[in-house]
Amino acid sequence: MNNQAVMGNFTDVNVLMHAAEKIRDAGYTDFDIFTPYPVHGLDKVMGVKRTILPYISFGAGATGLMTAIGLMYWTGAVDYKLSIGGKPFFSAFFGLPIMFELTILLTALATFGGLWYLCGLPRWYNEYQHDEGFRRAQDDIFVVSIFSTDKRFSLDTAKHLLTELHASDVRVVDAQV
Amino acid sequence: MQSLNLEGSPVAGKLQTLAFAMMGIGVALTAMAVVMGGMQHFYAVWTLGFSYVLGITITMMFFSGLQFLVRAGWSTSVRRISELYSGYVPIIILGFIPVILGLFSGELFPWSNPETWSANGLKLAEHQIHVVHTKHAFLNNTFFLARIGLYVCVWVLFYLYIIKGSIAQDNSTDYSTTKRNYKIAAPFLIFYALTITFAGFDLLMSLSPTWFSTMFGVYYFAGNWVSALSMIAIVVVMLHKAGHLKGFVTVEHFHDIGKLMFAFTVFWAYIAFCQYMLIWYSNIPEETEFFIHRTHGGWEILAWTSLVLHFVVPFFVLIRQDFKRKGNVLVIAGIIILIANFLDLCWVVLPVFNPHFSMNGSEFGPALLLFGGLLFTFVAQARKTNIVAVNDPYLQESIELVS
Repeated sequence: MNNQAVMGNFTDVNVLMHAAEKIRDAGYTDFDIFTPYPVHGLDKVMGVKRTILPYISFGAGATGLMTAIGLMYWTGAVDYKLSIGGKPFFSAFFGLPIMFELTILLTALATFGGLWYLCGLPRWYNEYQHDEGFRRAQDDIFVVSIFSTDKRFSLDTAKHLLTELHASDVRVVDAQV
Repeated sequence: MQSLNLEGSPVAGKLQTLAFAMMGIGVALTAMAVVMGGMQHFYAVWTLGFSYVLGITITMMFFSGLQFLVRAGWSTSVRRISELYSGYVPIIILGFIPVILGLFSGELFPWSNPETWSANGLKLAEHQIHVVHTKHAFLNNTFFLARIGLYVCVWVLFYLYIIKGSIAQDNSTDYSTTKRNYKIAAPFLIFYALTITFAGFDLLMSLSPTWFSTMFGVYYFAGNWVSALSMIAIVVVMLHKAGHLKGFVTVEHFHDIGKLMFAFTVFWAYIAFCQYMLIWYSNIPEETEFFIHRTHGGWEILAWTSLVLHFVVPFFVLIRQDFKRKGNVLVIAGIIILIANFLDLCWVVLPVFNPHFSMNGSEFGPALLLFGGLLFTFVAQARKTNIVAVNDPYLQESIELVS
């Protein structure tokens, strides 16, 4: 059976905020709200957890730093010693720009890649984009949808909940793969 | 118009007591510097403490001017704090007097009489005297005084126009002073950049007249800027805790100031390292002299301390998002940065006058005295001026800030 979603439309941000809070309190974790513009504080009332992206960045940065130190130490002071102007074979002073650059490079790449991964990108289409009301989420309404993949999902309670929260046009949409 | 000053506030009283304590200890330590070290030691530590507090005070005006230049919305509810600190500008410039006395005594700046200048056995060598003579066109008493006069004029104009204009907005019915500030902020910031750079050259770099670094002005600015941000953070957190900024400042403002502090501790380290590495790598005697002197004879202690306290500790304290949103953490980081910046200037100034590491506490005298003056002026200003720019067109945007 295909996935399903129960969708409801909202036009007022305050009502939407309240609804998001109630859905979160009802125990749903797999629901989403599609908005035409970023709504500050919505992630908080939806109970979205803080991203783990900083840890990915930090880990990649530390890896870059270690790589740079290891690379310069091994090439300069172990494998192929060259005396240049009497400088030491390895020193943190001339090494620091390279350590810095590799740290930044790996951090930037991991942050970019990690963001794509965590956001589920690239995604060419949305399974529910054929729904006329859902498309209006890009224009003038907020669309709340509770997905059937949520472990608490049941068609009737989800519909009932959204109606109770003053959503208009509460409907069941079948996913189109 | 509602009035939001600190008249009768207990936290103002506490800050004032702290300021008086600092000034008292400062006077005692300054007297100790004169008695134990003689006039030359006094001129040296005065230049040290004066450069420290002068840089912070002038950079407070830069903070305010910068917010006008970029039409910043987020900072409007904390901008006035920097403007209250700026009230110290007309007083701190009097601190140039002992520097000028030191110049004329010939004991402070080696370039003022290169042949006879000496300090604790340090003298200029024959070739160094020659180098100083070739720099006579820039380093001579008349031009030095003229430059100081110019800086003072620029800073006082900056104060009278930008800061006074911003404060006048509180009681104004139209936005004419704010609009004027938007226009004049850019030219003033150009002059700020030039004056802080050359003030760094004149007060600090010319103490080692045979050495030069084009990075030095930025280095001086970076230390001042991160110290000024720390001072703003400390006072904003204190006043917020005491309930004075409720409704204007939120944890989002802490977060934004914390981000700036974090960014500019990294900037300071970047600038300091750039200056060091290029000189280390090219290894030319006329450039390395400065660092060789400061990494031998015990002075390397200060170099390592300022590296750890000015960069490593604040970096790891401020790197986490949730730490930047805690007022107490910002205060601790701010105090560490302020101490580190002072030790960093000690490392620049004191080795000029002594080949071996020697600090007996009297170095802190003028810095404490002038710093206490800064705090006292802040309290005095805050008692008669609103501590929030209540009539600024961006205030509402700042209150609703989500960073």
